[in-house]
This record gives sequence, C-alpha cells and structure tokens, in this order.
Amino acid sequence: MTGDVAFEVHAFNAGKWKIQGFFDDKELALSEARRMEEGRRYPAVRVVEERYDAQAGGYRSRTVYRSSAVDAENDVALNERAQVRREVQEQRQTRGTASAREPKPPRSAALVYTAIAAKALLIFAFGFGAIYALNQLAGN
Amino acid sequence: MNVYRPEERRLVLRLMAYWDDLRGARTYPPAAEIDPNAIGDDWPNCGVLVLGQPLQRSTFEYVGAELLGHAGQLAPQTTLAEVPESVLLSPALSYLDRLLQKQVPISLGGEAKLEQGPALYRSILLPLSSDGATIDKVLIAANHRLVTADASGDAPDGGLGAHAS
Repeated sequence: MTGDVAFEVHAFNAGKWKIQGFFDDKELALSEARRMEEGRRYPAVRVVEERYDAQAGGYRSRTVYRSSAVDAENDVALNERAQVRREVQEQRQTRGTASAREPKPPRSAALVYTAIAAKALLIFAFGFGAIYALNQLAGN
Repeated sequence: MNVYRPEERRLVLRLMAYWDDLRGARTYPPAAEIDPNAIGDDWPNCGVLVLGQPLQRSTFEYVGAELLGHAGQLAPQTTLAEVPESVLLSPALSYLDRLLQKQVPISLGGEAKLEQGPALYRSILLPLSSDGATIDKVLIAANHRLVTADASGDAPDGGLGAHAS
C-alpha cells in the first residue's frame, strides 16, 4: 500500500452519499462499484479518490467514477426519443409532406394595402347603397 | 472451483460480495449467519476475530489454515497481540483500527515478511455485528504471493485473487 492514495466506494441512499468500502487499489474499488451498480440496490454509486497533497498538507478528493441508474434510464429515454424523431422525419420525407409544411412566402406590402383599400371601398359602397335604398323606401 | 461468485477471480471481491449479500438491507451481518459452505474453497483463507477490550486482547473464533501457513493452528484463546508476525494473519489484521474508525469494509495490500519469505499480500476486513449496529466481530480474508528476487516490488493488485483460486 502506498499510503498516499485511497479509493472510497460511495452509494447514494436516502438523500445522501454513504461510504460502503475503502480500498488502496483503484481497480478493486471500480470493480466493487460496478458490482454494486449491477445489484441495483442503490440509485447511484461513485468512487472517490483521496490523494495526499504534501504541499497543502491534507487530502484532496475527486470523483473518479460515477454511475447513476437515473442517468442510465435518461440515456435510454433520450435515445428512444431521438429514434422516434428520426423515424417521423423519414416518413414525412417519404410522403412528401415536408414541403407542404413549409411556410407560405410573404406577400408584398403594396399588395396588402391594395387589398385593404378594395375591402374598404366595397364596405363604403355597400353602406351607401343601403342608405339610398332605405331613403327610397321611406319616401314611398 | 467451489467459491462464492466463481466468475470473480479476486478473493477479496468474492468475500466482499458474499458479505454484502449476507447483510442485505442491514448495516452489518451477524457472524452467526456466515456459512462456510457458501464461501467454499475460500474458507481456509478466512478468519473470524472476536473484538475485545483493549483491541489487542481480541480472540479468534476461527482462523483458516491459509492464514497461518506452517504454524498450522493457533492455541485456543490466542489473542491478537500473540499472533506471530510471520504468518499472513498478522499483516492482514494490521489495519484493524482503521476498520473500526471507518466502520466499513477495508481492503489493503502490501509487503510482508512471512515465514516462507517476503511476500505480497492482499486482505479484506469485513465488519460483523450481532445486533446490527455495533461491530463485535470481523471477518478476515487474505491471500499472498511469495516475492522472488527478480519479481517487481509493486504493491499487489486485485489479480492476487487468482493465487487463491
């Protein structure tokens, strides 16, 4: 044992990380973490390296391995969603619907104003005609 | 090979898996539930220490032949302080205080001068408790490999487990 470095296997349970084992060999710690992960007793497992820093006069910790059942489930879900998106895209392209969903090209401003003016003129003419007709009826 | 989890080639990880499965949802399993038949061919590499006060007055409930080498067996009521340094059991228990401090399984390896010669060893200490809370016994497992003159002095890795298989 070197004494300068150690590896702690931690498991996440009931909202906190708890040490499950202590090793002086990284490969042993990683193997044990993987075994615990396969056991599915804990939602997450990690290996923390504790290395002695002579300059700082203390131990430095860093996570060298982390595995979460939630992460694994999320990866599966993301892959499935991506697969579904690809299949839908392929079907659209096959049916030629992709072009049908393209937005209509914008009309020019002059065309829009002309259409508004024509509508206003029609409304004015209809109103004038209606008033004239009412006057004729009242006169009779 | 009749051992627990034969697919695992390393002794300490086989014993760790056995201990972990034995405890289930408990913090520590009791020594009474240890089944030598389930441990199989690894049982001679195991021992059970009954903790005493002070620690050096702890005694052994069981010590496998592989932990004693040529010494064969310990006299009844042999205490921890009386274990010869030249048997594997001695270095395997050298970090017992760290186990009690951390309260979790600990596996360490290193060099030892055994009666057969210089060796690299790998051991694991697994806490046991009859009430599920207080550590009152310790399951020990260890194996070793003799170091020849041209062998590397590197600390043993998990592959040492192959020695026991």
